[in-house]
Amino acid sequence: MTEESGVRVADVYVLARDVINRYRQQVTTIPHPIPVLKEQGILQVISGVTGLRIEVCCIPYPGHYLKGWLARYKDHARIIYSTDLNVCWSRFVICKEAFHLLCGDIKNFCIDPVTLVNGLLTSPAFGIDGEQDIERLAVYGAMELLLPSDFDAVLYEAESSGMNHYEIALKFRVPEKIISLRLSPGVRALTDILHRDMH
Amino acid sequence: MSEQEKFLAWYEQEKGLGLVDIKFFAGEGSAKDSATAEDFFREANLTNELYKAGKVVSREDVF
Repeated sequence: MTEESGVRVADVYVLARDVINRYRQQVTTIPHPIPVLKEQGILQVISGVTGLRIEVCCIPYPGHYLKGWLARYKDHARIIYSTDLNVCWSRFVICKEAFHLLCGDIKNFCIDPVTLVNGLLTSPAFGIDGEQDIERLAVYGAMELLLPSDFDAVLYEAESSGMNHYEIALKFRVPEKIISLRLSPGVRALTDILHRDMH
Repeated sequence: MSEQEKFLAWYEQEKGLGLVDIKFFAGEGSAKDSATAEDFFREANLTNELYKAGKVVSREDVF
């Protein structure tokens, strides 16, 4: 876990929890898949928390090197993602970029795009071993937004019933890779502890 | 002008318009050894051009 960015993995879960709690005030039961873009979805909650108008744009480009990205301005933000992404990846990319708005502060703002890109080219964004940079923390944040503790029982039941990760991914509209990450022993243990601590 | 230079020119211009931060979500191609910053910035520049041209796609399926 890094202290360098001013954000730790436990903070990420707390930030996501706050968004989910605010979303819960609008609905009686949190539905799965959880709405991201719909009116009164979690993006609208993030907009309210940050005070930023968030524009989300699907652009027709390949997304081979760049699935999506965020441009944050003083009073608004723009999230761009590729038309080549399926529904699950689109939702995840939007949440991951939006999460940067929640945990972003001047300490982790990009000051040099070239250094940022060179870092991305040499450091994988997934997994729990090795470097824990702000990108990786945002992956955890997005995962927590889309798979909050409210879904733990259904998620674990789905796995124990024999559903494979692809089938579970379809159920929650989250990328299969993220389901595999969430259900990996290390992340599951960490998440269970943090979920327990938050209740 | 290289793709990197092109992106940096956009970045400096946008900073003047209030841009304070950018973040990227790398695609699978970025994990390959052959991937370069030029490849990456080429796609980023393409998104800027398409956005500026109003080429935004409606995705009713993404909710």
